[in-house]
Amino acid sequence: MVVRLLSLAAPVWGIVLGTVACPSCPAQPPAAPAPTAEAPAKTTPPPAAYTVSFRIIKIDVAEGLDRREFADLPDSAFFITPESGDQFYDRVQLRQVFGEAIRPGLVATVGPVYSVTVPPRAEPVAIRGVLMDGKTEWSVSLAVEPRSDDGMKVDLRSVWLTKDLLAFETNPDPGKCEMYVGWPMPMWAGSGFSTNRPDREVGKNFERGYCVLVLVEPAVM
Amino acid sequence: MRVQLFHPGTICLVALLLACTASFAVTPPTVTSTYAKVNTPQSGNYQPNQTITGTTTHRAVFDTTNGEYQPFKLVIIWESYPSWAPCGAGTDDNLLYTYNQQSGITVYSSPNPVIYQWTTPGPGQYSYVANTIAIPYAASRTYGPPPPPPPPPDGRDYTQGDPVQGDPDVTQITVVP
Repeated sequence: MVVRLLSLAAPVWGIVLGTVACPSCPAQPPAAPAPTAEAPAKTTPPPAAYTVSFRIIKIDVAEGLDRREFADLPDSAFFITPESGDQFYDRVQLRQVFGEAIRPGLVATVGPVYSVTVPPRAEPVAIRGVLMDGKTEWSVSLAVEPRSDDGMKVDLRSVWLTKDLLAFETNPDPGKCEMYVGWPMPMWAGSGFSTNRPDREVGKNFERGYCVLVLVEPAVM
Repeated sequence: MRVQLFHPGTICLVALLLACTASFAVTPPTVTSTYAKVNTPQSGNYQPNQTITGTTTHRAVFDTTNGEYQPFKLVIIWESYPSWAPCGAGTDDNLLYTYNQQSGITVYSSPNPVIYQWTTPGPGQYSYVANTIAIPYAASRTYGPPPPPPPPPDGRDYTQGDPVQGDPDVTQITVVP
């Protein structure tokens, strides 16, 4: 009897919950707003070129403070998304957001903005630099692949040869990261901790933190 | 009764439940390889109370291509110590968060190489050890990317993939009388 009741009720469940395609549950795609004759739909052309920017923020403990006091920081503490594209460019705000706002005693060093302008679906373009020793090189290769008709949703294709800069690197086959134009995001963020290192006090120590912010914008020049 | 069990609506409900179950499955990234190497001290004879420098390199390669969901957390843990002080070095780690889907993401120890100085004990046979462990994680659901901005990192739930502990690299040290 119970089975019979369930089976009788099943079509109702299918209608209430159903998104499953089957004969008794016809698919109901959401109705798209149709353009009218009076107000034809305007489509924004996708950007003819994109400017891809990134900047690196490094976080350390203020001089004179004990690293053990920061041992309880979450390892994701520096995986922070800026509120807007404006904040991406605001060095003072970023210094606050990635330093004191996380915990007093943390000092964020906000690096310069590196930018490259590329047409959509082009081969990756590299930005190269050297470390403070003047010799050790790093490079980041960037390309943009639009994923929506208006070009505002994109796949950022990138290669990061940053072994000596950030202690990671990727293989030369570009990786993929889904992004929205105008919205910065933390593509990479790292932290490091240690316990009982010979050159540190006994106990858990916070060692390092960093975040690589990336922003894709329509090219304006 | 058997016919009623296979009512199209019932099939629809079961399919829906299966689809819901499948949507909660998490596929973490994978570890492609790990590497640990003792560069110094090299195997050989040393004097008691001699200062030696332990230099080791550590890295692990992750594949996030098929990982679900983003972001991913890639962890490398390393040890570098002589056998006479197995607890002296403790462990260090390097954690990397990313939204990037890529077939080869190499995470190194930081610093690279790892350098410690030690004083040899009395005469005997010892070893110097380098270990590397790699652990991949995927978010238990997609957090971001914006818009809207993803929630703060605190409280995000991650699903651990298969950890990989590589074979330790060891050099033999003889402290002579």
